Order: sequence, then C-alpha cells, then structure tokens
Amino acid sequence: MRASHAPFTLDVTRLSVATPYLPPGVGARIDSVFRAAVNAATPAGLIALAPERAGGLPNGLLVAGAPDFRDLGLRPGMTVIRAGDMLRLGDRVALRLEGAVAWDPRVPAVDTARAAGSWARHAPIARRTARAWPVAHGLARVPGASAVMGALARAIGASDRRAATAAGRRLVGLGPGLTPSGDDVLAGIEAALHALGHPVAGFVEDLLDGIEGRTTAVSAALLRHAARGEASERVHELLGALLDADDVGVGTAVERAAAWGACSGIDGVTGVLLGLDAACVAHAERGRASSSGAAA
Amino acid sequence: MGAFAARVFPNSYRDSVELMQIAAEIEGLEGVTRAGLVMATPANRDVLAAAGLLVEVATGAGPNDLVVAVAAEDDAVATLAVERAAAALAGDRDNEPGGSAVVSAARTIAEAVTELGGANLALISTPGPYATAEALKALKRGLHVFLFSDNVPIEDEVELKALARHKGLLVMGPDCGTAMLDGIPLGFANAVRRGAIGLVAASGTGLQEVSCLVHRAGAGISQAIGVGGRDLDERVGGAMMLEAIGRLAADEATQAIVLISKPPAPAVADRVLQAAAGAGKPVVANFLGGDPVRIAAAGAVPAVTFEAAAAAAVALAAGRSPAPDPGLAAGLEPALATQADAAAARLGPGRTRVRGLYSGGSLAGEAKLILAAALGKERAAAHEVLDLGDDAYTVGRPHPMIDARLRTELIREAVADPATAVVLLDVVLGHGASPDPAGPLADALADRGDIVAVASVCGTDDDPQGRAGEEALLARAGVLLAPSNAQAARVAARIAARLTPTTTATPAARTP
Repeated sequence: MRASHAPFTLDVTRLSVATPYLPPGVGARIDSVFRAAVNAATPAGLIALAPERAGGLPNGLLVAGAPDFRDLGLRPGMTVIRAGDMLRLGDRVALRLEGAVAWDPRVPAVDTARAAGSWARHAPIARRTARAWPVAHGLARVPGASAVMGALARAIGASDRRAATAAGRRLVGLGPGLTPSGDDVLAGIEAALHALGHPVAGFVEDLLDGIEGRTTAVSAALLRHAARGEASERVHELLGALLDADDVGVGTAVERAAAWGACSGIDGVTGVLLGLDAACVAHAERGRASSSGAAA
Repeated sequence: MGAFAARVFPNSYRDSVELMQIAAEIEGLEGVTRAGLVMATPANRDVLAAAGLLVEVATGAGPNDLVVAVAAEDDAVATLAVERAAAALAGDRDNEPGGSAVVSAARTIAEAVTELGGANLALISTPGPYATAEALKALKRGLHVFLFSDNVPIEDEVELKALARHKGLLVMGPDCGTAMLDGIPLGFANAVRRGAIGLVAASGTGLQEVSCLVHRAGAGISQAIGVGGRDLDERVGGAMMLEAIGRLAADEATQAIVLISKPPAPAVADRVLQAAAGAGKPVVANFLGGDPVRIAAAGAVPAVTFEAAAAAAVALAAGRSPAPDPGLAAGLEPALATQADAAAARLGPGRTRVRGLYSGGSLAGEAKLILAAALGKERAAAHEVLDLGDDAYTVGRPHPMIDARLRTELIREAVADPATAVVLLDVVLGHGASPDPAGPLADALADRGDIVAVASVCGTDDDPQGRAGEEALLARAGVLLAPSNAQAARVAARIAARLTPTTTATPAARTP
C-alpha cells in the first residue's frame, strides 16, 4: 500500500513512546474528528493525531504543518491501517512515520525536598493566575464537586490511597466536555503525584476497571495514561515551571496549560495545583514530624 | 411549573469549546432557566437527575452519547431551545478564530458575481413566482442555474431550458433537490466519494440512493446532475438530460453514466436513449416502472431499481459486465428473509396492512412498484405508501427530510391502528437533511407492540449525521434494517405476502 493512493500525505514529526502499538495490517477505525485532532480506536487503545502546535500527547502522533483534519475529509468510521512506515486514514490521508522523533510522555521525577521548596515560592502566583483565568474550571458549577475535591486532597495529604480512590471515583466522568472536567482534574493530580514520587501516585489505576462505562472513550484513554504518570507536554512544561528552582515563567506556564480546549486546560491546571498542594503539605508535615522526632 | 426537554446525540463527539459555546447560547434564550450539554456519563446523568434535567429520553444514554437537556418556563421554549442546540450542533463551527474567510452576503446576482469573480453557478431558492426572473438573470450572465424553487410554471421551465441549451449551460430544476458538481454538494446531497460514475436524474432521492449505494460499493461519483422532475415531460423534451448526457460523454473522469427518472414521455425517451447510445460510454437507464426491453433495445443497460442501477454502474465503470438485474420482486438475502419471517410470525391476528411513510418521493415510488410486483396490483392496493414530501403535504411546513413532525404524527397514528402490520420508512441523511433524522422516528416507534418497523438509511458514514450512528439508533429501537430501499420494500412485501388481508379495498383517501 503506497502513500500516493491517498490525496494527502502528512509527515509525523513526533511520536509518543506510549502510543498504542498498531501492528501492520491490523485495522483500526477513526473514532472522532475535530479540526485540530483525530482519535483512532485500535485494539490496543486510542491513538490521537494532532498538529505540532498541540504539543506532545501521551497517546499521540504530531504532524507537521497546521492541517485541518475535517477539511482533509477525515470522518469517524474510516479505517486506519499501518503498512510499513505509513499509516493510512481511510482513502484520504497517509501519514509518513519515517523521520518521526520519539517523545517520552512520562513525567520526570524530581527531588521532592527541592521541589517542595520551589512550590512553596511559586504557589501564590500559580493560584492567582489560575483564579484570574477567564474560564472557571468545569467542576466549579457542579454541586458537591468541591467537597469531593477537598476529600481527595485530604486523602493525598494523609497518603491514604484507598480514600483517594474513593473520592476519585466520584470525579470520573463528571462535568462538561468531551474529556469531562473530573477526569482532567484527576489526570492533573496524577501528573503532580508522579513528579513528586508521592505514595498515592497511580491511584487512578484503581479506577480503571470498567472505566469505559463511566466516561467517554477519549477520556478513558487519557486516564489510562495518567495512571502510569504519562501526561501531555503542556503539563510537563507546567510542572517544570512550578517545581523548578528558577522563579521565572510560572504565570506564563499556567496560562499556556490553561489555554487548552474550553475548560480541559484549566481543569488540568486545577488538578496539578491540587496535587502539588496536597502532596507538599504532606511532605512538609512528614518533614516536621521527622524533625521533632529527631529533636526528641 | 417549569418544563423540561432533552435530546440524545448518540456517539457524538464535539470539542469542549463548541459545547460550552452552545450551552451559553441556549442558556441565554429568553425563558430558558438552565441548559446542559454534557456527555452522558453516569456521573453527569446523576447531576442532571439532581437538577431535575434528566428527561426520560436521556436515561438510557451512554458515556459516549451527548445529551442536551433544557429547563424552561414552558414546553414550547424548552423544545425550541433543544432544537436550537441541535441546529447549532449540526452546523460546522470553526473553533479556531481567524481560520475562515468572511464573505459578506450579496443582495443580487450581479453583486455576487462581482464579489466572487469566476463564479459559474447560481443557486436560486426564491419563491416560485420570482424564480424565473432570477434564473434568467443568471443565465444571461453565463451562469449555470441550480433552481431549488418549486411552483415555477412549466412554460417558464421550457423558456429557461431553451435559453440554457442555446448558451451551453445547465438549468438544474425547477424543484431540483440535489446535485454534486465537481464534488460540491448542492441542496440535499450525500457525502460520497469522487469516482468514475456520472449521474443524471429527474429524481432527487433516486439520485441520492444511487450515489450512496455506489459509494458503499467502493466506487464514486464524477458528477451528479439533477434536472428537475418535469425535464422528461413532453413539453420540456428532456432538454437538460440531453445537455447533461453530452457533458458527461465529454468528461474524461466519467466512465459510466446512469440516467434516473420516472418513465419519460415516449418521444422523449427515444431522444434520450438515442443520445445515450451516442455517448461512447456505457449507460444504465433506470426509468422507474419503465419498459426494460425498450431500454435494452436502444443499447442501454436497464435497471428496475436504484440498487440495480448502482450495481450495474459500478460493474461497468470497472470494465466488467453487470450481473443480470434480479428484477423488482427479487428474493432477499437469507439473513434478512429470516428476520422478516420471524417478525411476521410474531404479528397478532388482524394486523394486515403495510404503512409506508416516506420522505423521499422516488423512494416511495420504488417501494410501491416493488409491493405491486411482489403482491400483485390488487393485493398491493390494500397497503399504503405515502410520499410525505409531496406538495400536498408540505404546504406551510418544511420538507419531511428537514422536519420529522408530520411523519412522527403519522407513525403514531399507524401504531395506534390495530390493522397496521408493517411501518415502512426511508431515512435520508446528507447535507441539508435533519441533523438527526432517525431520532424522532425511533421515538415515535416506541411502544409499537408486535408491529414490524422496516427501514433503510439512504446515506454514508461520511455524511454529517453518520450512517452507522443513525442505523445503530434505529437498531436499538428494534427496527429491521435493510441495506437499500428496494430491499426494505421487499422485506415489507415478504411480510405482507404472509398476511391474510381482511379487505382488498383501496385505503381511505387521506387529507395531508
């Protein structure tokens, strides 16, 4: 099968190493098409396709240029087939994989003590920037959601995975959006916990059983990645700015991360901030406890 | 006391920006107290339920279904708000500001020609009395005309088409519902692959059905030219069908031509078939109810159904000989026959009538022919197939392909009738059609007891509504789905053949 059969050929520039593997000849189907994103359902999970400007996605391929996927004629239900170094999307688009750079979506672990110090300095400006964002996070209008988020923060603070799972379960599939806000918040929390190597990191894994019945297919795929500590490049950049010793660029990083979708971006930011707050409070308390223990 | 309304859009993925914009618009409508556009996850259904917004229709929705729920001061406002949301969802919103060019609306054809530069077609959809003057202006400026308007006198049609022939232009219409020119859909048209088959049709839904079946067979359409339902009338003389045949004959991309119409006037049929014979390409003629022997004698390939026309064209365009046309009363695929027989076996005594409620006139015509061929004219007369797109039903209201209300009323009436055995439907997708044609039909078919519902979906997965989703919705409502209108009609005929009619009298005249 050659690319020349399809009217449009796009070059894949980056490929997440966590992208579900599609063996040659195995069929997949386009699940949803937006102007700037395409999701394809494969036997191994959902693959996302986006232009380079979207930044790395945990399950995604980035393509060069700024294609409008709807105008290219892609539609849900079209087949996706891999043949050698090409991915064919229906009879419309061929993706050239040759030359794509591998990208690792796993959130890098940081030195917890130093990161907690950076967060203590950066938290006020990060919170101010998030509060000033023109759109409130998607759970702001959902009755009872703030209480659940509070319970989740306390569970993380207490390093209580079972309580975190119980609270997290109430956020799955909750709120507006194709990726409901509760899921974006959970993904943000997981990114923060993985970065800090927190004992509750990975608690979303406990929510994945039967997840397809409780949230959208796109969101379920993102939660699977989040449980393994895999996040989008925007979240990497946010965590980098918030936990770095350098004090510049915190507000800009929050704004860049918030500017994704209608409220998915600010939901993710909300999750990251909640996760850092809860985890760093616990870290400080552990630190105080061990100091007082040493003094005693 | 407030009112609530909701609608579910199965497997509907919209980006969050779009959903939030639409929710804000709907909440801004006067009389709307609360609106939600959310994915129907269990958590969101709980929230809707707690807010009193979980209307019954949304209780069975799943996490990949979008639910629009509205609370308003009264039923009318709630329903209107849901309709507004549906219309907004059907529109293709550009969520990236600056990404689309803005073209100001011209007020006259002259202004539009000046602004666009290089325009070569005018689409005219004014009320009939004004349409001729606008069409003449367009022709005089060298534009082809797509004339959507109806109620244009036949004398005007003759004059317009004579001028068009003189200038080497096309007048598609009047009352032309569909065309696809260089891949651009006009009027009601489906999203089909481009390919080697050229269509000329005096039948809107006939053209749509053939183009969709060609697409689903893996082939494609080079051009699809509608000519208006009266083009093959003796007075008009097939002027535009002749012009279109000439154009497709000269078109390098077209390898096979399909002509679709009711039987033309005999003299016109001779001229059209003569032009077809001179096209230098294989031609399939589907003159619904016409004489296949006469067509074959003229050198064209006759096809008695839209399905047979599509199959023959696909074979010819690929350089193969078409399989013999199985005829109007052909058998069914075994799986479909088994389903039909099982459904028929469940029918209670007294259920004797097929009620065909169609939105497409040509599809209704095809169904009538198939019932008559399968049952004999006398027995077929005991059944009823209505074309709800006929002028008699559309006075003062939108076409049933846009607005399902008349059809759902008649479905409910049919369901309440103890004599109804089968409700036979077409579901037409594509540009211009309702954003969710199957939804209201499925709702109206609920609680139908042992009555058999049979339908075919005229559309493709590339259509804005998505064929698979619409079929899934009908399947969930227990509708027996056939892959074409011809086969749906044969299912109905097979069930009808097993019934003992209580009367063979012509059904009572119906006032639209």
